[in-house]
Amino acid sequence: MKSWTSSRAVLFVHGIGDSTQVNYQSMELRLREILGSDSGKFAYYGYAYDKYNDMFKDKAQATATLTKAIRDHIPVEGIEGPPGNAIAEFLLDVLWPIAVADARLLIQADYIKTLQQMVKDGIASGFPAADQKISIICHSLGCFQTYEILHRCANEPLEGLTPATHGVHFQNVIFMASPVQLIRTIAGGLTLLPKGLYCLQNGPLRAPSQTSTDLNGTAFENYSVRNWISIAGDLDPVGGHWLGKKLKSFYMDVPARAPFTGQQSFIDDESLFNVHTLKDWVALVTDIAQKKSVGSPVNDPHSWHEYIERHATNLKKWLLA
Amino acid sequence: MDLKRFGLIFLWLGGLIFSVPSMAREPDKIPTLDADYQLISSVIDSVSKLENLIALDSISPYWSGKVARQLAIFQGNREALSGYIVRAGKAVGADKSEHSNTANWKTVLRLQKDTFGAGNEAWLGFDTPFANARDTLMEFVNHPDLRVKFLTVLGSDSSLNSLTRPLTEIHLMQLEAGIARNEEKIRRYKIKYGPTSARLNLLETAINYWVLQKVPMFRSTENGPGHLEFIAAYSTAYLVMYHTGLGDFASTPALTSVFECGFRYYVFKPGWGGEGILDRMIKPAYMTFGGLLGTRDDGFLRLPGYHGARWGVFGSWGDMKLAWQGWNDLDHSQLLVSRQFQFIPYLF
Repeated sequence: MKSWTSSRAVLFVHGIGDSTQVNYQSMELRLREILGSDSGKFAYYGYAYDKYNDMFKDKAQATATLTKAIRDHIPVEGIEGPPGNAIAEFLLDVLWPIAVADARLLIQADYIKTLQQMVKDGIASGFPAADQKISIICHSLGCFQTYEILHRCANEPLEGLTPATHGVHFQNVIFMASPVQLIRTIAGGLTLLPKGLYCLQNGPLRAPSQTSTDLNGTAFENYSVRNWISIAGDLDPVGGHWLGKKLKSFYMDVPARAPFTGQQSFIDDESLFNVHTLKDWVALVTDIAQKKSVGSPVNDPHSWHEYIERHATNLKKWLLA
Repeated sequence: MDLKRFGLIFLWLGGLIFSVPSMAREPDKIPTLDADYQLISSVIDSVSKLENLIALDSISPYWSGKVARQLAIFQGNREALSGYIVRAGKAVGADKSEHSNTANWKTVLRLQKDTFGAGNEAWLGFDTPFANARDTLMEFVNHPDLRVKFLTVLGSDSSLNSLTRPLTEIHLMQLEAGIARNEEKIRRYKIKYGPTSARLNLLETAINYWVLQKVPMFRSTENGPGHLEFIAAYSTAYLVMYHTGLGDFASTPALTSVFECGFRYYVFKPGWGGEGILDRMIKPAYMTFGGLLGTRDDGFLRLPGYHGARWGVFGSWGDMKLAWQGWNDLDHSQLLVSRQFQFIPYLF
């Protein structure tokens, strides 16, 4: 249990890759620097789900072979060494929560428990749910987990996290390099997948909500996210871009639907990486993979740290709003 | 004779697994009933004050009517609960004079006693008139438009929070129950998929992870994972322990190879599935049962069914496996022992 000094809290949710390399303490320290004198107003939380991906991988030993094969045998012309780890981690991290219902439900239970604990901590510190200002900063596959979990929370009163009944609203949900639309496009074509993914529901992607009634008795959607922000780099394929171009089928865009005002979109210019061709891009990713530095700050178009650095000023503004 | 013994062993194991644990003595409900009474009263008081504070009937006749209907349900339950507490002589922990004794038996009997008290269904349950009323009153205090009006009149968050405290108490109870429920789910998933669970080969992975995730007993429910897992494995590590057909013990150690097909049952009862050696022996995470196809002759890495076959059954208590083969060849029937592991990881 954490004690809150004000009504504000922030949750980090990591992305694709080996979560043991994601250091939430360093993320917290950097965010504290960004927030400056206001940093003490926040309670800081981190959620890591990669341990469960590893659990499913270890149980199904056959998939360890797949990982090894990907690591060792993906040839890239003109590039020395395998792009390996990052791609293997990516494929399996995506595979479990999407394709295996039990993996998805386990991560769901754990993520929701984290949110329940946060809201409970806030209440115990004297801030009822309706007063709380919780922000979520998620990266990569963590965006997918967050999208799914927020919808589950809004639709399932059992969890005690609905916007209308329980007054739980998230002040900011900041998606960095979100693959939600990418997964929707790919998984939408796979009929054998277990049902129940919110990102595969009919119609456009939407913000989570619970139906309520206004003062005149007219139904309206009470949205659980106040400020829905999407940040992607123009060289980051996970965020729906390829060599500087936006790919509509892969880019997450959540349109306005009153009273939800829609997603605030930010596309970062990553031209400094000097990547113009597929070969340039593969060389860059291979370099990152060989350094085993998923999420590192070294010239990685998908780097979480880089996204945070590029939006430090905005982050402070959003979190303190 | 041997079959009878096997039958007895399986009955014994089955009894251990499926027996209903003796019911714990029902906890004394009295203090909780009193607490429920107090909370219902506080909610009625809180919501009524908020209604009056903003003159709800003039601002929103729709919400005014809606709230009035839910308050009536709360008041009815408070009256019945109070009557029950007094008539059953169970007013403990609260002033008896606080309770109404005017409720007649008809009212008292209408009270769903399981809803209140230790069951806590009143605050955690769903789809009952009381639960629907509770949710509507929670929605009332959290309504964005009405909250602005409450704050305008009261002037501060702290005053409003103080007034809505009873509803926050309910929310807190729901969150605590939610955390406990999710922790239990995670515990169960760790038993079925964690480091002490059985490893799966390629075929088992495909069948369990994809095909059977929609089948009852295999698929997850609101309580966590399904109990069952499908087994289709080749085992070449069975040790021949006793020649049941000949009635003697094996004079020399011999290994035999079998193909197993059956089910693994995971036990999610608290206390089962521990990681210590003794825990794993006494209260293991799982047990298995099924049929097997063995070879005509003993030997390492033999192909079951090739050059004749022996049919049989197998079962396990945790990692310890016991099998009997020779159903179709009683003279060459054997009792086998082994341990759960994958001889060739990924494949068998």
